[in-house]
Formats: sequence, C-alpha cells, structure tokens
Amino acid sequence: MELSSLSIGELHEKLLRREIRVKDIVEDSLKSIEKKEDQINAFIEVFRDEALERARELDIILEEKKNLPLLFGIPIAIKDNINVKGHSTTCASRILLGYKSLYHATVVERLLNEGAVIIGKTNMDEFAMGATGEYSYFGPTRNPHNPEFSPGGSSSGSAAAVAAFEAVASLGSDTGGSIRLPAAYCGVVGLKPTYGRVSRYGLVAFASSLDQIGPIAKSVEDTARLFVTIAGYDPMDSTSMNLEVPTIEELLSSEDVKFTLGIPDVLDEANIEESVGKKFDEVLRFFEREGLKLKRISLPHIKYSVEVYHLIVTSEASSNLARYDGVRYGFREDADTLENMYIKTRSQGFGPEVKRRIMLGTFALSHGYYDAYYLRALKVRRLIKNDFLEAFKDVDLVILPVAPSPPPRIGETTDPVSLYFLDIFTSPANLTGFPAISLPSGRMEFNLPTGFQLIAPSFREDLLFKIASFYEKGHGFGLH
Amino acid sequence: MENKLEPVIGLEIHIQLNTETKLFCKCKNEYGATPNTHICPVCLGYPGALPVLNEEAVRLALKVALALHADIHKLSRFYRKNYFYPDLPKGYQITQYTESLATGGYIEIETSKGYKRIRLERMNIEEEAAKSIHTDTGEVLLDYNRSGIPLLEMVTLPDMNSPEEARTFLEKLRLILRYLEVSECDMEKGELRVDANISLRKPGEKLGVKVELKNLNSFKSVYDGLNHEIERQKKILQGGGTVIQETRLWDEYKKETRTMRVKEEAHDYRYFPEPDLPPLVVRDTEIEELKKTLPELPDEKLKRFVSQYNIGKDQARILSLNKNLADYFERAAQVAEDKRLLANWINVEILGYLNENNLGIQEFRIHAEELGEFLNYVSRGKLSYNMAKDIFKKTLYNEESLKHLLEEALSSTISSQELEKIINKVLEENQELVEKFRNGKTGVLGALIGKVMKETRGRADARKVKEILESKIGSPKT
Ligand SMILES: [Zn+2]
Repeated sequence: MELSSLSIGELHEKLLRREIRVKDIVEDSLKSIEKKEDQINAFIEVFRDEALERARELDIILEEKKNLPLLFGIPIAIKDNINVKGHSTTCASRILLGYKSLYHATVVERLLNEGAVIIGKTNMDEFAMGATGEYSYFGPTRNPHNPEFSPGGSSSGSAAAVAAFEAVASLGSDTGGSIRLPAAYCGVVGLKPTYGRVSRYGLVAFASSLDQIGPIAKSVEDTARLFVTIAGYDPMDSTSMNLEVPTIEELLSSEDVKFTLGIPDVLDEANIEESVGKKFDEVLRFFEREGLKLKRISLPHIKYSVEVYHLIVTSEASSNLARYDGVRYGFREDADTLENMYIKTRSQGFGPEVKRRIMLGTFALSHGYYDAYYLRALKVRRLIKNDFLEAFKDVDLVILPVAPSPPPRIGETTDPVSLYFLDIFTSPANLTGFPAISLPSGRMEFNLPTGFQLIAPSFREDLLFKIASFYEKGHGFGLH
Repeated sequence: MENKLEPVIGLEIHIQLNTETKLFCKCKNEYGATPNTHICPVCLGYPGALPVLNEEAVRLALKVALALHADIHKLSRFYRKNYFYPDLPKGYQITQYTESLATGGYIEIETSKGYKRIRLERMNIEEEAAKSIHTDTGEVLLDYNRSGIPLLEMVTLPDMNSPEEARTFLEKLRLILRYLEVSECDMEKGELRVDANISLRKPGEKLGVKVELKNLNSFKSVYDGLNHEIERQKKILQGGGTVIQETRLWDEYKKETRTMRVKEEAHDYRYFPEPDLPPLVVRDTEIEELKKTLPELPDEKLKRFVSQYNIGKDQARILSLNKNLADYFERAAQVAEDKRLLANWINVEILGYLNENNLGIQEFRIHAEELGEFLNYVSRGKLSYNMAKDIFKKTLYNEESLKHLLEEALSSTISSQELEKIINKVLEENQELVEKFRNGKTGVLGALIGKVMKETRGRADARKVKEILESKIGSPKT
C-alpha cells in the first residue's frame, strides 16, 4: 500500500501506534516519485536527502510524542514559485536558472513549524501563467488519471503530485484559478483562501493584488490542516490581514449546513461542455436532496471577468517581472551594452506566454492607455465585487463549476486566448478576493475527474469547510 | 531684445531621512558602511520579497510637512514608477505620485528686497536607488546599501528669481531640516540633492522654455550652475534664438552646463498603484501628537531671542542658525545677568575659536552654566573685559581650568582701598597733568589711567579707574 494515499489523520494514528515511522512515510513518497515521475513530471526538484534527514530528526522527536503537531512527518510538495531557503525557485522559467532562495517563504516556515517534511518543488506554468501546465521550461506535467491529458494549471505539479500519491499534500498559488483548476482536473481538493488570509511573503509575485497561496490535498480535513497552518497575519506582508484563524475543529463541524446556495445566471449563457454540465447538475441535485436551498442569483458583471482579469494580471505582471534583468541573479546573456544585455536576457529567459503577457501589460499601463484599460478594469472589478456582495445578502455561498470544459489533451490547444477562457468561473474569486474551494465531483470520459467550486464571503473559509466536509461525507468525491 | 530678462527658478529636492532602518525593510540606513553589507531580499528585489512601510520614515516626513506649513493628506498612496536600470533592483521605484503625502506649504526667505515666500508644490516619500560607482576601467559597481533608504521628495513652485534666492532657500531648508533632526543634509554624502528648473522671461510675461539642471552637488554648484545657465540662456535669447527644453548637467570643473537629454527622450514610467502596500492613512491624532514634538523653528527662535533677551537681531540670527548653539546660549542665559554681553561673547569669543579649530559647539569644553557665571564677574565689574578675554583664551588654548584661572585673577585683583591709595599717589605726583585736564586737555586722562594701571600691574579694571579719576579731579573748566 502507498502510505501517501492515506490521509494525514490516518498516518498520524499509525505513527502514534508506532506501526510506522516518519522515515517510512517519506521513503514511500520518494518511491512513488521515483516510479511515476518519468511519466507525470510533477516535480522540478526532489529534496531526497534533505527529506530523509528531516525524517530521521522527526523520528527522534516522535519517541516522546503523545499528540502530533498538525503536519508532523507529512511529505508536502511546494509549488516552485514559493521560496524554500537553500533551494532554487525557478517558477519553471529559464530566467531564474541559478537563483537560490536566501530565505523561507512565511508559509514554508509555518509548515515546518507544524512538523511537515518538504519533499520537493513542483512543476508549473512559467510564472504561474497558464491553465494547462504546458508552459514550463521543464516540460509539461501530465494528468495522473490519464497521462494523455493536462492536469490543469498553473499549479500543475502540486495537484498532480497529490493525485499520484507522490506527496500527501501540497501548496499551490491561485491568481485566477491556478489551484482550483488543477485540483478539479486531478480529482483533489483545492482551496484559494481569501486575499489577505495567507501571507504572500516568499511567493514570487505574478499579479500581486490577486495572488494567494493555498493548499491542495486529497481530503477536506487534510486541506483544513494545511489551511490553518499557513493562514494568519504576517508582518512581512502588508496586505495580510490581522484576523483570527479558525481552529480545525471549528472548520470541520458539519452539523449546521442549512445553507442557501446561489446559482449565478451567468451559467445560462456560458459555453459549458455537456459532460461538465451533467456532473455539475448532479452536485446541485445532491445538495437539494439534502435539504439545502438553491437560489438563482444575478451577477451582471461577471461576464467581463476574463477581460478584466487579464488586463489587471498582465499590467501587474509586466511590473512584477521587471526585476528579472540579468543583473543580480538568475540567467544572463551577456552583450556589448547594458540595453542589449537586458534585451537578450529577457528574450531568451522568458517563454512565449510570459512575453505575451508582459507586452500586453506594458501596453495597458502606457501613457494614454492607462485610463482606458487599467483604470477601467479596476472599476469593473469593483462592480463584480458589488454584484457578489449583493448576492451574499440572499445566499450563503455561490456555487459554480471550476472550468467550462474537461482537461484538454496535452499539445492540443494552440490558441492562447481560448485557454484564457478556462478561467471564466475561477477568476471572479480572485478579482473579488473571496475564498473558494474546489471539490471533485466524479469522473467523466477518459477516466478524467471534474469538480465544482463554492465561493464564500471574505474570511468565511469556515463556511467552505463546513459544506465541503458535509459533501465529502454525504456524497463522496466519486473517484473510486 | 532688451537686457531685462528675469530668471525663474524652481527646485526639486531629495532629502535622505535619517531613520534607523530603510524605507521598506529592516536593513540599517547607514552611510559609509562596507558596500553591500546592509542588504536583504527586500532591498535587493529578490523574488517573493515584499515591502513593509517604515513608520518612522513617515513620521519624519510628516514633521517636515508640518514645519513647512503644508497640507497633509489623510490618505496618500504609493505607486510604482517602472524603468530599467541596474541600480533599481525591482525594475520599479516605489514612490508617491498623484496622491501625495502633502501639498502646498512654503519657506520664507530674506532677500535684498525683503521677505519672500517660496511656495512648495508637493512632498512625497519614496525609496532610494542603489549607488552606481563607475570605475576607471569602465566597469559599473553597485552598492545596494543605499537601495531602499527613505527619501523625501520636495518640489517648489518657480518662485525664485535669482541664484542667490535659490541658495538662500536651500540654506533655510537645510537649517529647518537640521532643527527637525530629520536629516543632516550633507550634500557631499548625498543626503540632500537638488535639481533646478530654470527659464528666463521678461517680467510680467509668461514663463519661458525651461531647462532642468542636474549634477548640482553643493550649494556653491547650485549657485554657480544657475548663474552660468542664466548667462547661456540670456545669450541665446538676446541673439534672437530659442532655448530648447532639455536636461543639462553642470560641470563644476569646466564651469559650464551641457546637454544630458532632450525632452523627446523622456520615459513613460507606466505609473500604477503599488498593490503590495495599502494606502497610507494619517490620522488626526497622529498629526496632533507630532505637532507636540516639533521643536521651535529658527524664525520663531530668532524673534523670541530678540524680545526675550533683548539682544540685537544680527546676534540673534547667528545664534539661531545653529540649534545647538542656540541651546547653549539659552542655558548660559539662565545664569548670565547681562544677555547682550553673553550673546556678544558667544558670537565673538566662542564662534571665533570654534571656526578657527573647526569644532562644533557640542565639542566646546566650557559648559554653558560655567560661562554664565564667568561673565557675571565681568558684568558686576569684578573682572575687566580684557582680563576676562585673556583668561578665556588661556583656558581654551592652554587647556587650563577656567575656574582655576578665574580664582587666581580674582585673588590678585586689587582691593578698592589699595586702588584709592594708588590713585591718590598718582594724582599727587602728576599735578601738572591734572592741571592740563582741568584746563580742557581731556586727552591727558588716558595718560593718568595708564599710570594707575601700571602701578596696579594691571590688576585694576580700567573702566573703574577712569570713573574714580574723573570723580576725583572733577570736570574740565569750560
Ligand atoms: Zn533590506
């Protein structure tokens, strides 16, 4: 049996009964990686020796332990846009080759404080720009349920590693759906916390006003364990909020789920593929059967989400990625003049999608265009948020599919703009800052999973966890 | 074209705030440290690092805004100014832009035509770039110790009409900033940097084409650079030509300005609000608290010195030009009975010594209270001004104790009985001089005083001797 297929709770029981040691869990995870990596390519770097050394240390501590910290001995994979001290952080880009992190991201420090074992850094779309995991300097990640298909992106490796039992859980980042989409495509749970809930210190910025780090795991409880570990105020991130984080018990009590779920009218017009729509209807029927109220809600501006999202994302990215200039770290292509060094380094260091977005963003922020594009996008962003706030007066949560279509075949999509529309249901949670959880809802054709998401008001992750564990217990993820 | 062209000058000033740490990280803000020792992921622009605003920098900037009568904005915002340069580690500078920390305000300067207010346009907080050092071999070395040091950017309206006014303005600004203890404003260390906008016009007409003048590394180069640029523009205009809008560099060695870049090459900085920082909110209570901490500023101090101590305006000005000196004066004035004597003594005896030895008043050996007591011997007539001066000099140059020298002098001072005896003796022996005096030859009084002083071996106060002599021999016959 693969130990990484077990939940954190189950592993902890075995540890406490001394049936296994941390070393067994870590070795098992490394064995999985060895066996499957050739096919899946979920990792950019595996911390083999370091993880085994950490396991040895934890096993010594284990001797005296009666209770275990939340993530004690648990192999966790980290998306390669999050800094882990002493290791490279590539963002799956050539431009960061040779860069070594001088510090731990706050989330990594918090995982380590709860006893986690960092097992490695995961593959992704370059600088988190992409929805399929194909835009990586290190080659595409493949879907563990069917390697012909994409695992979704941009946290492709983080979702695939969990689904393939290479790690027990992982961290991803979500700017427009980058946790929820691969989680749905890989049949695992993914949470995008409220903007400001989890420190971004140490997360390589893509679009600073939208980026959030979040957990990916096989179960709702595992997801909650990671969430409460990484959440909470961090003085190093001026956008993190000083609010109390609920305890794991508070998150998982599922007695009172008499919620009203809002179904946005945008679903009528959206181009949803039949297989996805069918699974989504099944989920709605389940909640209805269980006595939850379903209510149609109007979100008139949500249809502009993709456009607004891409204007903001590209603008912020064009500035955030300016620091990769070959001067201080990473890849450099020398040239006769400073300007030529910049041009060569950045032309050769960035992949095509990153360059596309830098150019779009540079244009949108240019003198004379700023008001028409960036400023207007900010205004519509506000309108989208107002729509949701209005809806939350009538409903507790909003329910939506994660993506309008099933995972694409690897190499199939050549038109970048069509990929942008994979974010249509996920980007609103980033634009509004609201927390959203993606849950598996069974399999479709080609053995491929699909999922749905629930969106809650700001800092109400507790609502998401309550309904998620209710669903997990009553319906199950439909993957077996 | 006639010769009457008036210069119109505005200044853009950058002031390094002397905080403990940098603007967005905990690295030390320290000048002159070994290059690249005060650095961290934040000020190096490493991937994933985020800025956290240093509240001390905001407080210092607000103090300046308050002192210069500016309107402080309750809500201001940070923006990103995007451009590529090796000294800019993030590829953008975090600065304030349209939503400034403060707008308006002024500094009053004294010109040959009286008092004049130089108005300020805005004050912004921003981060410093790294320092580029160009080597002889053509390499560029970067010192990121400077990267992220807090700057206060200050822009004036074009209210100055001569290089003198610009220099006076800067001197006044530096004085105020030193009083506020927000910056030492040492231009050599780059703590204060000045760019000037300069154009010429006929009085009353609209503003001419302006030239931005850079590389002004001292008050002298501001003055010289502006003078040369005015002459250059005058020549062009008087020859019927037009000045082109451009940025020029002042060359201190060649004494000329030369083109750096023309307007068309201006950057598009693609400003947008910094998403990593929330808006900067300043509360009323904060402003009230800060107001309480504001020191008395030079202008107020000058006025108070004149009215409270009844000293001359020129002396009061010199004292108020240096906060530490002013403090020294006030401490001494607590003890000294004759404030004018004290002010004069500080201006003549002490400042002379300090300037000669390149010392600050903080390094002066004689305590203010001690000086006050010392001068009281002079004002009470127990010690002559000249004797006091000698003792003072001896104390300073021979490093002898003032107290000791004073005691010695006082013990050797002649008693009034002895002095009377000597005076009587001198009068008796010099009857013919007394006669001459009585006949109107008053000049002989000096000779009599001299003889008395010689008899006393300099132990008497000449002023007192003169008084006694006059009372004894009476007035000259008219
Ligand atoms: Zn620093």
